[in-house]
Amino acid sequence: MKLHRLLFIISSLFTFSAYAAEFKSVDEAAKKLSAYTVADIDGDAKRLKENQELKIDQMFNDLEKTEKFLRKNNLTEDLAHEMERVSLITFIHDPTTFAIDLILPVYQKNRIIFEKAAQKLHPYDRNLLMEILKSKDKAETDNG
Amino acid sequence: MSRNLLLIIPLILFLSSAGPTIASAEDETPDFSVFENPNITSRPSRSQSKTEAEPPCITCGQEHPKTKNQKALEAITKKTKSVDSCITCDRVLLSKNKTKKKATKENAWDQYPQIAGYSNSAAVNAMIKYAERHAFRHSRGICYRNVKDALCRAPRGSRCKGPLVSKYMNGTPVFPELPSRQRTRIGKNAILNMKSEGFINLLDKPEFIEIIKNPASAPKGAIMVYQGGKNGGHIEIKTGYGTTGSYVSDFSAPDSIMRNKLAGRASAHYKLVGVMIKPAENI
Repeated sequence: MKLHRLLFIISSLFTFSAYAAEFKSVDEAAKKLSAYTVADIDGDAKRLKENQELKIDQMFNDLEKTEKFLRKNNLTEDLAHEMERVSLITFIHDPTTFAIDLILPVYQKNRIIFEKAAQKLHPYDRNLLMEILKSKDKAETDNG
Repeated sequence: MSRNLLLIIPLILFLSSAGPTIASAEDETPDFSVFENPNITSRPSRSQSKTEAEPPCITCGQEHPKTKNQKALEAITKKTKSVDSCITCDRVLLSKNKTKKKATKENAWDQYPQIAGYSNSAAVNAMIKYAERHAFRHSRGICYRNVKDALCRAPRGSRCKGPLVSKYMNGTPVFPELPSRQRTRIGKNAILNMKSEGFINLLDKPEFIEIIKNPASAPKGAIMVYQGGKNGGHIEIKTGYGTTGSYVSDFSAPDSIMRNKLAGRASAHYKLVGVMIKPAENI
């Protein structure tokens, strides 16, 4: 019984450290984000029923970690594209577009890179993403 | 006479030497071998035509230079090959179908004529219609603005002089006094703003707190005010009783912002603090 507890504590410590770890390079961040697909978000309904951690939360966490990493590092076009792509995937279940709130500070500093990276997206996705980014950016300063 | 002869003789001599001889049919048979029958001879082929004599074509065997249209078409096909496939096209929010339980219409509000009168009034229906017409599928971060617009434009053409509000409510975001990412923070919060227009918060009344256990149990047309999130709160209009309607602000969703579990932590940080209605006697 004690061994089980010990194993649980060790595994939870590892899980926590993996969650808390920050990205060390742009490539690492891009690689992590590129692993997410639309199939992940489709599986969230099943995960919710089974009380498992949702993939959408993992995506939000990774976007947040990327934003923190980019406070001291430079954004590349590839990483911007991955951030945009993952944000779009989260839109499927999240109409509040919370992902945009997470990446908005990066966009405000790197508008041109974001716009270039968006060229790789499907035109429909590109228009939707850029419209929301611009609108939320404007809403921050507007007195609506 | 001799003068006339002198004139005629040289004329005859001239005509006989220089002029063509007029041949009669009896003279000789024509030689047809030199002529070509136009019906028998085939039309000259293109290679035998006049151009044969022109210098040989240099570019004919090679690729023709591309026209402007061809170049543009190639650029487009190249571009479409390199872009990602569409992620959000034709995607229905899964929460709409998969997590929604059987729609229930709660009639708990029928026993309160002031609230039922508000929910069933023409002004509230006009407000709901306006909000639904102007809602997107995804949030643009302007929930408060859209709700203020809907309150102002109901009924149609009232321009903020209708039964719901007497002026365009000032203030942004929903809770300017609370920490948020928004740089511009002006005016009073949404609850105070609406109270100044004659609205009441049902959550202030103990008799209603028991009825409103969650956003779904709020009455139709209620303005739901939430604290939390990164943008200083959220505000939305409930369009039906129970779980029959949707929740509309700058986007429309089948579940309230705090009940969409598939959105993960995006909806986890909100708390319902206001269920605003205007008593029917004030409409």
